[in-house]
Amino acid sequence: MKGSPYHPVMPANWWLSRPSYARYLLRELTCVFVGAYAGAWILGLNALAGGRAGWEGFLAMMMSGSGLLFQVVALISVLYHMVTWFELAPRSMRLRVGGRSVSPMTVIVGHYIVWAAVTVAVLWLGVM
Amino acid sequence: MTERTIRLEVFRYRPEQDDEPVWQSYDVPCREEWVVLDALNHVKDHLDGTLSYRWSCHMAVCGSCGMRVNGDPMLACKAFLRDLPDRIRVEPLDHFPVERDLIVNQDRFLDSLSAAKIWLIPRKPAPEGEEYRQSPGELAAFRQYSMCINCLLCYSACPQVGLNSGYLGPAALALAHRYNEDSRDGGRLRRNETTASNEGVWECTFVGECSEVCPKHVDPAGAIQQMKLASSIDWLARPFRRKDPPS
Repeated sequence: MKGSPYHPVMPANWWLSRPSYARYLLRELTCVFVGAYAGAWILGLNALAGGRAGWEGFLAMMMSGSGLLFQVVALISVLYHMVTWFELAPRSMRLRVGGRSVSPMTVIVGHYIVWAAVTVAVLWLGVM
Repeated sequence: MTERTIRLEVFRYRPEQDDEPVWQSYDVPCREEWVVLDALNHVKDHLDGTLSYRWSCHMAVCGSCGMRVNGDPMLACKAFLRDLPDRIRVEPLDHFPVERDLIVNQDRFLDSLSAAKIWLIPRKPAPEGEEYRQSPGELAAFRQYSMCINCLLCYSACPQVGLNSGYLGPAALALAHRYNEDSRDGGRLRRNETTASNEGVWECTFVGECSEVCPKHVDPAGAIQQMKLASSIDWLARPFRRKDPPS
């Protein structure tokens, strides 16, 4: 309106205006698959509580074509989510040891070491 | 010696005559060492004296000349023409009302500084007849965040600022963190009233662009994530505190 400040309107496709915005939104979108995968295993636990037939039905569903596709998409999503969050971790964790700042790379590598250790521990529990 | 002519496309909004912003182009003969601010000054001095924009120091200290150059929030005094194509589009910072041409209304930011209590709230009175003393380590804890020059590039880069009009924004929160981390300060719990509210750090979704565009490497995104952790601990500790701080 003439005589007053101009108020810009943010377009609905703002996330296309910069590649970094699109990458951010993709990172956020992976949460959907991370949550869906967790939800699937809650369904699995429920099926297990229902007895052998229910559990085998759940396994069959997960091993079906659509079940495998879902798991592949979920795996890719979780990995993308993990890598992008590990990259951001040094900003959240400002560590100082002996009066000196811990380097960002050390924080990132530390995350991967913990991830690998937890993965090995879970696999070991699975074999036991 | 003139080496190159660039086409400068400038966002124009003159409230006394324009209903909507318009683009105006200027052909500017420029030198190798020029920055965008030099090109704007050439327009102002030789081609069109009606063009309005803010600037002062011409050395990335005052933070006045923040604007979008080919879509990227930048200081016009730090945007070298040799790094840019022959056609350069200059716009005001995003997410702020435009008063005129490249000049935005900064009230929202100034209100955020006040709301986040961007000043030292002493933990205890200074020693009688002495000044506060800080070790190099204590200084290092907050020095990075004290480098903010209030240029508002981070506000322009942050989509949450555009989506949520109540959000305090990256610079105000990074400056609040600067005081929270200061060994002389005891005001963190008072600042939490706004910085840890639904207008503060929890509105940040860690896009991270605020830190990418910061000309002083303040890293507001990092400051905000650290404030999320600190305010969570403060919230958990609340039942064990003897009394809440005065407002």
